[in-house]
Amino acid sequence: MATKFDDASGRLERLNVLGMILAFGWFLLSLAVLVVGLAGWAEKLTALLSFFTSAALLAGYVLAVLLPQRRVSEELRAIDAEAVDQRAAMLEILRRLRLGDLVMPASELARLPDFLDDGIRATTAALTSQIQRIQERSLEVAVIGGEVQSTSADLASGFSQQSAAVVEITATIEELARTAAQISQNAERQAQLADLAETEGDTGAEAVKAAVAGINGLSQRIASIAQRTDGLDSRSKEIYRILDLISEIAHDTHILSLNAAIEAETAGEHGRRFAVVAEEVRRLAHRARESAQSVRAHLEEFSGAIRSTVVATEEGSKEAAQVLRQAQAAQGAIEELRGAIGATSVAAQEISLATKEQRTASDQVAVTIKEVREVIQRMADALRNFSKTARNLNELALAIQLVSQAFRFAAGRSLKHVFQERASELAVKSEGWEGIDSELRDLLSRSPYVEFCYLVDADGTLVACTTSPEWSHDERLPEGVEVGKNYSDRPWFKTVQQTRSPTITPLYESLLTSQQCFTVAAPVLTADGRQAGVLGADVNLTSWIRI
Amino acid sequence: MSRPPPWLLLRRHGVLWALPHAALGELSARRPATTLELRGGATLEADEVLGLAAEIEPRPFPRCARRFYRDTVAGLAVWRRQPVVLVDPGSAPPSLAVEKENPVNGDEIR
Amino acid sequence: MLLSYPSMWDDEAFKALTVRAGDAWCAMPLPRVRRVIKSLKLHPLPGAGPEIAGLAEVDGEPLVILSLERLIEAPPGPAAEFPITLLVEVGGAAREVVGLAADQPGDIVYLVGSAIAGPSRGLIRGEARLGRGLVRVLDLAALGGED
Repeated sequence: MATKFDDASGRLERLNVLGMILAFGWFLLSLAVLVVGLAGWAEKLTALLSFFTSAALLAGYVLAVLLPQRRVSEELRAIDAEAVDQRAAMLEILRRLRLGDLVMPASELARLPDFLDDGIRATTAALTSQIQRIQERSLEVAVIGGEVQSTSADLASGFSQQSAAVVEITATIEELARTAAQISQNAERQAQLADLAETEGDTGAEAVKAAVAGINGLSQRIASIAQRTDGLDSRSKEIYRILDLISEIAHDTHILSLNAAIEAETAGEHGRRFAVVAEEVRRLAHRARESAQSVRAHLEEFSGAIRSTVVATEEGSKEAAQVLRQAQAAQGAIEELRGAIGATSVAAQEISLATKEQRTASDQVAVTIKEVREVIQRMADALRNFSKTARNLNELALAIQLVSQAFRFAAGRSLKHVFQERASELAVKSEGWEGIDSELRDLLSRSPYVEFCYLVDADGTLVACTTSPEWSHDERLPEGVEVGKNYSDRPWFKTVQQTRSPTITPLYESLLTSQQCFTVAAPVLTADGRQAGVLGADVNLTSWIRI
Repeated sequence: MSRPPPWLLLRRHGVLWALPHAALGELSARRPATTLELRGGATLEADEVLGLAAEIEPRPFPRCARRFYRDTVAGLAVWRRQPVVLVDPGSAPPSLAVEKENPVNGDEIR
Repeated sequence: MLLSYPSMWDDEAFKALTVRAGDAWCAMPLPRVRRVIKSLKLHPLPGAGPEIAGLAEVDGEPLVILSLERLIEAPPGPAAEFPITLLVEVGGAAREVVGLAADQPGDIVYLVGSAIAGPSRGLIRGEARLGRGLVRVLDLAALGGED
């Protein structure tokens, strides 16, 4: 659409073109005069021509250029004045936009051309919509980021625990591998010992066999000795019998001699020679008896020796038999032992092989577990990084949220708009600030995310303040806060005072709850545009995000 | 008719005893012992009655041994190379007395 | 048959037969000994005292056999390998023949009556040293019954 400026400019352009034509024409005329002059005969003609031409050009210039030009200049001045007003309105709008205020007053928009008005409205509406979406998405991202951070932190913790468990498993596997290696070594040694024992068993079996043969031979010799001893014993018994017979004969002879002596005594003198014979017989019997006794004594010694020998041979035979039984038992035991050793050797070899395989498997498991541990550790690290990223994302989202809060737009999510509206409501009480406490409490009741709200006057002196009972059970004030104290040095006060528009501070730790919060401050403007005070509110970040 | 042998031989407690046959009354067999009732009224008991014997030649019981044996006997004798104690029917030794644990069961042998 | 004996217990030596009864050696005058018999079978005499060893038969005659060990009250001695029985005449004027059971026959020795010492009690006249030991000298006349 062509504007006035364009029209004026167009006319001016045409005028300039006309001026150039006239100038060119003047040039041609002059040239013609020159030519005529040079020709010598048309000096008068030339002068006339020149005069009329000049007069025509001059008239034409005045009518066609100068007057229109003046009109155009006036139009341009009017356009310029309008432009200045529009520029001022635009600057105000831009100033507001710079301050993030997307709520444009209609009075300002009216000063702009329609297209600008429409464009700005559209633009602010689009920006408001985008910012709202940004706020919503940033909140979603913040919430999700928080959840992801929490989840990843839990996962990282879990993975760390898993890693610790894997460390324990690794240690256990390594211990198992060491044990298996030791078992394998022991099994190999057992197999070696079994082989050695088997060899020794063979030697032992041979030795036992030789011993059994020797004992058999000994038993046979003992039996032979026993037989001969029995023979001797029998002979000694025979000799005893003979000795008994001799003793009996000696006894009988003795008795006979006694009886002979008795008869001799009875015979008196006639029996004297008989008595001598009886005496000799008695001596003979005595000698026989003594000889028999001597022989008996010797025989008893001999018999004793034989009996001892018999006893010894019997005992020897018994012992030989017992030794033989023991040797045979030992032989049997050795055979069983050899069999057991053989089985033990086989089993030990199998154990050694199995433990070697187990060790190999344990090594593989250890390697795998180590890899798993590394993977877990990497995953834990990745989760920690992810958690950090999520935390960063959360913080970024919160930062974006706060950044988005830098914009004021007509919606409940715009804290600037909300508190500006609240501040505007308080403007009517600016004379004396009566009832301001109830207003602040009402504000708290409508804004559960606010920990603490306060009102300072135009000088920055604290007029009233209230703590939310949800954030402070005893409604105690933050440390250092008291009515009457001056807070004009606070950034939020200075910013509001300078910009005369709401402001939001960066995040800081709340003195009341020690949680993350930020301050929203809005100017209390009277009807005449005077700033009567500043309304401030400490917003709990977590609560604000949940809302 | 010939006279019966004058002595009845019996064994009691491992010893041979000889009783004058004329003094014998009745014999009764009481298992395991034999009871002899004498004419004088005494009753004797024997382990075994061997029978009658005629070749009994009495000999006096040594006086030096009397102090060591107070039972009344009629003397000593030998029968078949075994010493025999001769019983005085009027005063039989206690060894031939009936023992109470041998009950009489009523059988009689004449 | 009775023999005429020298007077006993005077200083003349007389022959005696030694026997062992229990653990005591005894000596009895040889004229009083009729015979030495070995392995005489004894039959018990019920009701008799321990001094009577039993009854026996010798040459068809019954004999009462007295235990010399009990008569002299000797302690028990070594077991008798060949026990004997002595046929002796006991008593004084009226003599009887009895048997004396002993454990072991000794020898025929000479004793002197004056060498017999010790108190006389019953059958034992006294004791006499014989070799390295003492023997109890028996007076068989004291064993007789009432004359």
